[in-house]
Amino acid sequence: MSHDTILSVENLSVGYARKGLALDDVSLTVPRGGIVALLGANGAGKTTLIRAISGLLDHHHGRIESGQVRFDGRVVNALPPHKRIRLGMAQSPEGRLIFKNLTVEDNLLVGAAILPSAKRQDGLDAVYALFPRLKERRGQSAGWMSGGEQQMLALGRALIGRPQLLLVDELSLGLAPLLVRSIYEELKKVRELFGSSMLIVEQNAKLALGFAEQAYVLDRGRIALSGFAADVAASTAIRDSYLGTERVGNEGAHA
Amino acid sequence: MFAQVLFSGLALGSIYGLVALGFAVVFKATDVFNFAQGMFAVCGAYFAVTAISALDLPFGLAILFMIAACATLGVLAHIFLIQPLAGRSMLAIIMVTIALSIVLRAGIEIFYGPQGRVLTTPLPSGVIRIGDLRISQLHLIAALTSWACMAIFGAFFRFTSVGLLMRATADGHEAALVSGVNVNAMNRLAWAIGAVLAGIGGLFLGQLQIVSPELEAIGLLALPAVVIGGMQSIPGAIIGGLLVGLIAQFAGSYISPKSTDIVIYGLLLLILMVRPWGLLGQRELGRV
Repeated sequence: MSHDTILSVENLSVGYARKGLALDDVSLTVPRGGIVALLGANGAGKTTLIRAISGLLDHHHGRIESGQVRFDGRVVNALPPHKRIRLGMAQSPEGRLIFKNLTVEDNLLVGAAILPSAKRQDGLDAVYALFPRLKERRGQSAGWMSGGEQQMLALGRALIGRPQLLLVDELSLGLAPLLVRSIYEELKKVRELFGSSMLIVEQNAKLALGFAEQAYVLDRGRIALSGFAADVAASTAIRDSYLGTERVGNEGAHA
Repeated sequence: MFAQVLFSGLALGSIYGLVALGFAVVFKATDVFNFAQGMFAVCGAYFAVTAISALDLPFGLAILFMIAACATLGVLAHIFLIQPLAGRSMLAIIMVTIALSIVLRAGIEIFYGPQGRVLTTPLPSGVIRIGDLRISQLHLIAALTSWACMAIFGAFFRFTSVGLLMRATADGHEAALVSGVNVNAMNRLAWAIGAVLAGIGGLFLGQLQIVSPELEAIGLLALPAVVIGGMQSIPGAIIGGLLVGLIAQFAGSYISPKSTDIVIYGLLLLILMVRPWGLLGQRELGRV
């Protein structure tokens, strides 16, 4: 595999206990420094793919049946999540999963725990510079913040270790479109500042395709379409299925 | 008499609070309602007996031995009993902790015999008189040590980096996993701390009475203490322990020695009916 690839998922199949395959022979690459969007309907397997990459399948009673996840040249299938994060992966999970009873600053410090103690303050400063709102609220219990602030906190906690690869799952869920746009603007800055590559799972396909350079579309556990974001956006299949221009009423068309 | 009962209630309550704190640490971290906590206290007392009487260790070393043995016991319980059941129903896990306490009791009776052992330590056993009040030095030391342990662990959770990671793990396992916390290591540490706090409590209980498996019943007073104080609250466990100690002593002295359990578990029932999250616990915080 090329030195220019930070993440490659190779022929990955994933199953959950007592269910069929959630992912079937999925391959995907994220170039170093690149931004890749992962699109698909609900239940297509997007979150499963993110879990397979970050190592959270175990926690959800899922397992890799075949294929591999290669991060920075190394197969990480068997590594627990905390070791993958130490290699330079980070995740802003679906539903944000912040620590509700901890203060904003303590949330960030948990993310900073992988850093040597002398570097933690720099990490905090960098995150506060990206999201000044978090600095204003740093002493507050995270559970009492708005959805947008919680999303910033989840991103800040992931970014504080300056990851090489940032996985972002459903950032826009339940947030106002304007706020979502401003958070994506911050993510652009993150790439300039930290050089982080990103894999973005997003319900809002239009937004994601405007932000990413490349895109993959998952459909019922398989990659249905992939390519440059502009080409994917232009494809009629994705327009019909996900951009919502015109829903084709033929349910059996994919089968 | 009032002051006398108040003193012994506070002293015993401090020990219960210590054992209850250990229980609460385990519950907060791993959501396990550990019915073996009382037996962990008994094990602590027997580890001390072993170190002092059988191994002939000096007192300081014997305490270190007891702490190390309790920590190992807690870690092993987590690795071999709790972790394999991750994701299973709470009932299955509770049954396993009950089974663990039965097995530990049987092991102790096989190894040490059913009769009690006397724990001989250099701790002072005299009495300080202040007017009518007789203060047992041993009770005083037990209370002070308990408070010191609670302060040390409180500071550990509040001010250290590992303490923060433990609080984060208690807040949400999946959230901790995605943040890079080694959740299994934190959970093992919680079980080690829980067992060590029980063991220190057991050491004092064994010293105030006699070391026998019957101490389990006293160690298990940590359960009503935790429920009364608030399952999710660390200060609640300590306050609950003190309350249980005071109630036990006052009911024992003013009503009847046999009445203590009725009063304690009556209060437990009352709390569960009117304030199920306990005196210092809080209802689920935050928005979804």
